[in-house]
Amino acid sequence: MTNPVFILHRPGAEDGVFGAFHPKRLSSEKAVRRQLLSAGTGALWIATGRDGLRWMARGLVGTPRRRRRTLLLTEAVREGTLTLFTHWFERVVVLPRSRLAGDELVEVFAREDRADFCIGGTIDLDLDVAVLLRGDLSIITAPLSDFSPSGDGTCPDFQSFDVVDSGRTLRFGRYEAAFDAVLYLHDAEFRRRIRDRRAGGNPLGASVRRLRKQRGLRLDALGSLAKTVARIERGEVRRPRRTTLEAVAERLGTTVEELAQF
Amino acid sequence: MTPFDLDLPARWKAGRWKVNIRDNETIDEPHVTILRGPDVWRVSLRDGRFPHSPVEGEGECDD
Repeated sequence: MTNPVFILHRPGAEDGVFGAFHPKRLSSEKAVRRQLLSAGTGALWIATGRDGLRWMARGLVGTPRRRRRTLLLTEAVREGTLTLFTHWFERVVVLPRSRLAGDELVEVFAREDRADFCIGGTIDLDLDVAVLLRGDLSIITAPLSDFSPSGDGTCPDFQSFDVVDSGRTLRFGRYEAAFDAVLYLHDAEFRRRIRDRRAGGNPLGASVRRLRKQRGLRLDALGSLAKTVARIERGEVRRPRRTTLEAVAERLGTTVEELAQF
Repeated sequence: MTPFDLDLPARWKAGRWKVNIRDNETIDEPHVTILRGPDVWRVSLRDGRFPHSPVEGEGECDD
């Protein structure tokens, strides 16, 4: 983290998992207000416990709103408190109950590529989405339909959700999902990064296969295109004709450009 | 353990090693995933290559 990080907690309290951020400790309403007035944009504020919340709420009185300021809360707060903080901060993040254990959180926070890890999340069964918190405290949302039954029929149990393997795996009961597969589907920047690293091989074939799988299409459902698509996926056809690509793209419900980029 | 976990010796598990086939990775070619703490390697089940990595340096298994 290059931006300043402040942690609000009682004198003598340990920074715990947030030690990796090397935060400046604030232990009074006055100290909080002073930093709120002087700290520039981009700061991360971490409020822990009731004291931290109270100092923050009172410290904000009379200070200007600033952009690009994030508040991280270590526990859920009441609706009114949340409304207050969302007025003053561009982003307010509550650490979810389902989250990595302390030592794994420390490990993730200390990494430069922390955004590629899931540190916690919430499953919203009403909206059918998983709301996942990344190591850089940004959010990624995935529809629950992403987690289709496994080859042996194992289904995700969305009532039982954990983040395991240091943030690499989402566990739904006996079903385990790779977090980077979620990132690949829903984060264009992550997808571009992974693709750039894949030198050589059969990038077109891999793209076609990924899109076909994402659409839930079996090869034999592609009719007259089945053999052509199979050959492209196996790398036997490296440069298909434009008309062939257009036909494959149309069958997969996409464009030739997206077909090559996915 | 999930249905696709390889049952590793206790000493390896204690060292945070894990080998399995994840349930949602069907969009990539068939592969097995090897994890050690936050590090991940994938091994293609077709030809034994390391097809790609979510981590810098993946595929360069140096120990």
